[in-house]
Amino acid sequence: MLHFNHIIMGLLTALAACMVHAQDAAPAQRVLAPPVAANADDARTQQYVQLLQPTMWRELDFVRLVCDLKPEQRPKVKAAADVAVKEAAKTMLKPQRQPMTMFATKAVRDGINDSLKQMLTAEQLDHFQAEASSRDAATKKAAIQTLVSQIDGILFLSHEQRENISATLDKNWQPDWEYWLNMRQHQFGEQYLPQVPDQHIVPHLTAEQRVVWTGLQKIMFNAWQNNGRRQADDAAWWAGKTDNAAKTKAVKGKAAAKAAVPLP
Amino acid sequence: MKPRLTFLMLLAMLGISLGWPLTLSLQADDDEIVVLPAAANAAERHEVDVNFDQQVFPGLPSAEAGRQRLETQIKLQLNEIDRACQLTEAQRERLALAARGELHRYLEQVEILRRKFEAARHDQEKLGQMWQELQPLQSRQARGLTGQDTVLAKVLHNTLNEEQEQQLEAAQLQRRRFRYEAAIGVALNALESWVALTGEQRQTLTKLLLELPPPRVFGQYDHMLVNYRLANLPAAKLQSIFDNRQWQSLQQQFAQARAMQGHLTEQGYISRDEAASAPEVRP
Repeated sequence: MLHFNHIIMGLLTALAACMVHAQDAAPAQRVLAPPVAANADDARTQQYVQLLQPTMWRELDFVRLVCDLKPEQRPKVKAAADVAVKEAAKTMLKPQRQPMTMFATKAVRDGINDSLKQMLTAEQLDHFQAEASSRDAATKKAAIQTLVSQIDGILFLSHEQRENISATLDKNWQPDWEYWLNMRQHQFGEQYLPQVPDQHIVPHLTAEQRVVWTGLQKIMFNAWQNNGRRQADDAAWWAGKTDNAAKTKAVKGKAAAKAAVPLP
Repeated sequence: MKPRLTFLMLLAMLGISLGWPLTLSLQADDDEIVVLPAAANAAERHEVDVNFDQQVFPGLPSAEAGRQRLETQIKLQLNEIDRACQLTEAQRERLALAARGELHRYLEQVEILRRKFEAARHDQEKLGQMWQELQPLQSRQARGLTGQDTVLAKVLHNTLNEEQEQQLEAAQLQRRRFRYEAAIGVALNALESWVALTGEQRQTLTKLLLELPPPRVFGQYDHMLVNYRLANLPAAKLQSIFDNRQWQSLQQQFAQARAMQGHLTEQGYISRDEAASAPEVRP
């Protein structure tokens, strides 16, 4: 079973790497061939930089949506994001306690957030922080609900048990538990449970439920996020060359649909 | 003539090489009984069994432990039904009998597949097919043996009186709502990998989706159903939530979600009538 999981993880990582490489069309970021003299760490860092591109674009897309950046702010934010990705990639060479993908996502997000504190106006920053908190809360709620609903499907929890387990997980929440959501999205959640500390679950179960719970297989899931696509106008927008016209409300009709041109 | 002679010589050499070990084993027959190959087969069969059991009953040491877990799960479900609608002794026995039958049928299917698996253990191509056949059994176990499309569900319907059915429906609706809300959270989180959302947009989309009734089937495609529903909401309701850039980006995702209709119908998430009613989804 362990081998099977490793194979799946390997495939997902390879798939993510392929997709990331395929979608990153910006010539400045494309690595054609590592220099012969470059050491192994540089090559690995560069690989991680590539793998982190979707995470970075996901964050930048969020910043773009909620911050209403002025053209002169955008290249600075983009440059800070590039630095955050490189720093995260370097840190990934060292052993980490968290799952690597979770750690990397957090590192990129934190790096961008730190730079925004210095670049945004007070009003922009307030708005950004409120939206970021709202997103974190939604992620936490979704992760807890998906786990509890999965346990419920197996153990037939009562309404009170669902409520109590949700409350315990909420109180003891750890940000890297976000991977519970990734498991569902990758459709692993049907057969395997994530590794959740027994002390948050077991006290709420009946004796019979505990027997079933003990026998369930719990796994750590570690897959690279390969969504977070760049869009056609990203390069120009982040260079500060286009305006915020796209932020107008969606126009009804087929024209909008025809104009859908995300990068492959 | 020459090629024919060469062919005959090759045939003779092949015959000798094939016959040589046979000769050796015949000679050996007089001296000792060779049991090694049989032991290897037994070990191999045991390994096949272990592998098979681990796939069917992940996390458990044996098929027996798997059977016990399934029995306990069924008991948990019957307890829940009892809790929701206070069964009579006769009703309880009837449902227990139906549940045992369900478990028996499932374990029979497992055994049939185990025999096929064992027979195919040296054939990689057939083993590949076995894994495909294994998947429905794994999914069924993960979903619970006593779900919507089972004999127990039918017996349950025929066993409960009207009042009990309403009580049970109310209890199950609560659970289905919880699971549906969880699926919405997962789907919107995945959607945000493609298109960032504001808190207000997230809330509005959640509210719109929660206005639709929770599905009767749950499983690994829950979030795909949510995407499908989202993609089929009336455009008038949906478009005004997004800005132009978001709307354009979402078209690709929506097209993919709509294309899942056949699969979701096959999996029982949406009925054929409901599928026909899209884009106005009426689940």
